[in-house]
Amino acid sequence: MRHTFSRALACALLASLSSPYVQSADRTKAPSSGKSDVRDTLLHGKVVFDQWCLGCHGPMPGFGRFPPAGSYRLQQRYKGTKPAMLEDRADLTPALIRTVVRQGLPIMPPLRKTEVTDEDLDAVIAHLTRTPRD
Amino acid sequence: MTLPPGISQETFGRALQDFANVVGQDWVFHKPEDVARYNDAFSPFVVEPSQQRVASAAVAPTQVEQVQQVVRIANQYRIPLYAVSTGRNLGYGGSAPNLSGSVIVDLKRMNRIIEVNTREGYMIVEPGVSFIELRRYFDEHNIDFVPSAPGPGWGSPVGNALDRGLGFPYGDNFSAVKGLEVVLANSEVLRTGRGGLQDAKLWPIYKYGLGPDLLGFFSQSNFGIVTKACFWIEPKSELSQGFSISSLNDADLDPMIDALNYLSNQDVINGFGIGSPLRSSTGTNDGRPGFGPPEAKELLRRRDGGSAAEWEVLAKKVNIPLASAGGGARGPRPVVEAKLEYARDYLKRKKVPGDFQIGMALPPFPVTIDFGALAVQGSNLGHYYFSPVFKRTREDLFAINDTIRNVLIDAGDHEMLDEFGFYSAEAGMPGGAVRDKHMALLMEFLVYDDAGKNQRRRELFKKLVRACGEKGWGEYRAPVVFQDDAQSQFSFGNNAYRRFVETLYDAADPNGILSPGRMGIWPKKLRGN
Repeated sequence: MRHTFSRALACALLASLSSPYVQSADRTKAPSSGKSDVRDTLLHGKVVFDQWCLGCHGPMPGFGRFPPAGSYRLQQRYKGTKPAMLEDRADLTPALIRTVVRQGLPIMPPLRKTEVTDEDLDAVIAHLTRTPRD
Repeated sequence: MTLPPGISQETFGRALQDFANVVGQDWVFHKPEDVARYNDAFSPFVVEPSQQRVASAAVAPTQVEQVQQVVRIANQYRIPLYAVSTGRNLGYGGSAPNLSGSVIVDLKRMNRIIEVNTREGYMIVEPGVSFIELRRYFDEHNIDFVPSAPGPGWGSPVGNALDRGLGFPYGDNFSAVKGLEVVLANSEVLRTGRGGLQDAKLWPIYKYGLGPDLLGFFSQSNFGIVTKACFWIEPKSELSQGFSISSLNDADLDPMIDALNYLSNQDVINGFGIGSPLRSSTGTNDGRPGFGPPEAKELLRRRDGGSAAEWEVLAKKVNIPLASAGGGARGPRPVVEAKLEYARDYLKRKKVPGDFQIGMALPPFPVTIDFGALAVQGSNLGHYYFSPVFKRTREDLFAINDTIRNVLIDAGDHEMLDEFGFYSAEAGMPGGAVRDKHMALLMEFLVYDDAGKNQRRRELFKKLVRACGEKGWGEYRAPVVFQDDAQSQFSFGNNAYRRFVETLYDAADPNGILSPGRMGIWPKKLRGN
């Protein structure tokens, strides 16, 4: 078993480059004009997704020692028949998203209502099921 | 539905209504599907749900006054509480209580960042603030300071510090805590140190009050529910640079350690770790194959772990170092460069054998490492950690590895033996905040879809606790379901420590309502069960 310095350094550096949190301040900025309820919900959904989901559901293959857990597992499961990244999927249903977020999966702990409120979850669902996809 | 021990359904229903009157109906969770989210997602009993420690309900206050009222209600009905900051202590129990039937006090909604003072270098935060939220706040407010974070970042700086967890880049997070606000079992609010003064302006600055210091009393403890914490914080380092020194001879580790201790003890370097790269090349401890030569694996399967002569022959053959130490320095660029140049020169002057290398620059901000390791390792149902502390000497490094390997050999667990191989921590915690003189061994136990295997591993865990504890290697923290075992090793003076803490607990919390069983400290009525 090894916890080598060079690996730790490489992992730290590279993971940081891929970190969703590095640019979080910019991502949370609301547009200066043209807001609507729908747009607000989508923006809010993106913010919540970035905070709670993107760490494991970010782009493959990732830049660290290990791939993003969720994207990697979905890639293994679907073997190219569906995108590995949730934000690239067009087949996610509100019911599926709600169930997985609230009940969790192996590796993925469920998210509690004190973390992602029902309103937050509705916004994430809107973000992941939005049309047209951007 | 799980009920608190000795509490009827009817009484519990009244208590839940009282909780709801305090925090609102929406923030008392008692439906099975809601309560299940407070189970340990990585429980060692994940495929044996009947044996899991589970909550009866959860209540989520937003204000200190609400926490006080929750504690009053718990006292009235004799309902055990289990407080969590964000409940993401995965690998050490998550948000699951020591005592089944406890009501979780979920502090996630207490998520205010009360003050960030960049002139004096401190912050005051509530327990529900996560590392990610703190980082985002710093970004949005152009605060050029960094919180010290573990991965993943959805955990709590307060919760992590109280569990004496580690963060990157500063290491021991509790060492940065200088003041706490705590709701006691009698529902009073206490502030530690200078917070005891009516004008608490020095609360985040000077950690002591007058008389016995209570700060540590509230870490890894069940003496209160922490509602605010004052941390010292550091500016982002202009440069955080690693280094390593390595050799093909085991014995060279001694002069390396002597020299790096000298440099660390006068803050030329910020911490360092030691290891044996060739020995550690065979195992990953997480179900993936190592990359080392097969001869190394064969040597580590032997009780003696192979002689120094055998290892040195192999090291020369494959040209992988046998001895290695590494660390880092952080600060303004010219200072860091001068420190590492001084370190290089000092090692040369002292004729320390080995190849000195300057490593990569670390990012000047914390990193939240994702769950990627779990995705690619041998099992993805979860994991927990055996975490004993040992001395940063060659003798202790080899002795604890030998002890663990022999427990694995005795247990006949050849799979774990090969996966574990040999533990090295060649960097320690890079750039640790304090002059650590110890090392923590992190041995990962995977959870499988096989109850029998999980049970054998749990027994193995307990054997390791005993075997290492007898030799002075107690754990620095422990998963909830093993805390009684881990605490039992601190038995000096006929368990004088535990008995003293129990005496205090009985006095401070006569009804035994606050996190009963935390770190092996139980109320009188539950001891010995």
